[in-house]
Amino acid sequence: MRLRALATTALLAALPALGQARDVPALTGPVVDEAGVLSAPDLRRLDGLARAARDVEGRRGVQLQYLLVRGLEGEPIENFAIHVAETWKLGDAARDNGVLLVVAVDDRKVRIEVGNGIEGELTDAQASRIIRGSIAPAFRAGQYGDGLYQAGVEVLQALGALPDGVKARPEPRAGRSSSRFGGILMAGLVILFIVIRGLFGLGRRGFWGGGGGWGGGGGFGGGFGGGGFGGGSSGGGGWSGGGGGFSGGGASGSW
Amino acid sequence: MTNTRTVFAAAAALLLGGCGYQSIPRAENAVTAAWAEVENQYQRRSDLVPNLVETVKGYASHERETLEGVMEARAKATSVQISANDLTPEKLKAFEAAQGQLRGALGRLLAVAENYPQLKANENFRDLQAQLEGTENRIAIARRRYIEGVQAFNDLVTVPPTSWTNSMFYKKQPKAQFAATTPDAATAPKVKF
Repeated sequence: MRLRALATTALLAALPALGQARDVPALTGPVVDEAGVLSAPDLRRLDGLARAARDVEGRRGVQLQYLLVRGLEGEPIENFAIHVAETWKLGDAARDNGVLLVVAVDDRKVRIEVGNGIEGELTDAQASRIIRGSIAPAFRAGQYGDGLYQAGVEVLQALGALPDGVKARPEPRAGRSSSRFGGILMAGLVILFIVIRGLFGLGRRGFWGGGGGWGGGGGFGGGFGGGGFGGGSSGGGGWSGGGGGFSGGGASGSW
Repeated sequence: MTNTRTVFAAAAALLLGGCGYQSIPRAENAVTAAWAEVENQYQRRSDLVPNLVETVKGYASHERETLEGVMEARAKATSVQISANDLTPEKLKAFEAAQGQLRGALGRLLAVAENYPQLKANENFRDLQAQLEGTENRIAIARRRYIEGVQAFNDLVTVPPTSWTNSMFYKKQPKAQFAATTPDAATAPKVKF
């Protein structure tokens, strides 16, 4: 009898989980890597880029947010992305200028969710080109950090919100239209770049120049705590959503 | 005397505040806004169609039947408009039917496009496809928000104690709801590349 009651209780407790969507992780900073695929330098690089973009005009700049999860647990990435965006309320409330980059590593799915207020500058077609042209090729090579960084730069570039000191990238060449020659040219450029960088002893820090988080001082420490959700305090280096709205703009893709 | 009256009025206002006096009109405004967004997003899809049809025509001009089907469905869909204070179940059903036809016609068009590798590789077509996907996603979200808004409003006008306030002051009817069983209610369609 008691066992049955216990079983019923357990069943009831489990029931809501069945019909529910995948849960939203806590907003701990500009880069939430639940999947654990980013290296420490990658994390700092993305973190620095997002913070630099946010820190303009009295911290009302574009809020660029990265989220990497393992799997979607069967939920379409569009549903998951809007759910996260609504929960985290990214972007300024008056400007609705949040951008959320969601990656589901095991599902090989990615989505760029664009805030209400900036859909005009970062259109669905542009978001799709960024996925096809920059994210997909990098991810196929396992370069999650590079793909996300470049995508972030291109997103900010499209919005005219590229922070000072961050190098702009050329327009992404989308899809398979790049010829074999283009591929060779690209490889050559990359090699040249590495050689030059080696010659001049230009470390990553000097080159990217993004943010001050390199030393680890202002990183993920106490600043974020657990209060990232919604109405958390926005002072003291915290990274909380500003209350921006989303209506489903952006694009999805896979690699 | 005036003092007592002030206190009485204040008490009445306080009581009404919890009884839907404010929340019913507020919820109705939210439904109106949500409906405007639904129509706006469907309109956005309609606006994409001519461009899409033109692009496909450039590569698959002899798929005349499919192309014409899309344009016809578009004309029908744009002709069905409902204002927010006229959201009856019948009208909503007609709206749904017209939009559903356009959706089906677009699906057939994209299926046809699968047979034309050059079309599929065309950058303009890919952009249009991304825009169409984005719009379908926006429609799904606008619909969900409308459904939630109507749910909240209908609860206020049908569930006591706020329903008493409604029957006393507003006499508002519950708003028509989207059928939850429509195929695109929950998810945007997947357009495979």
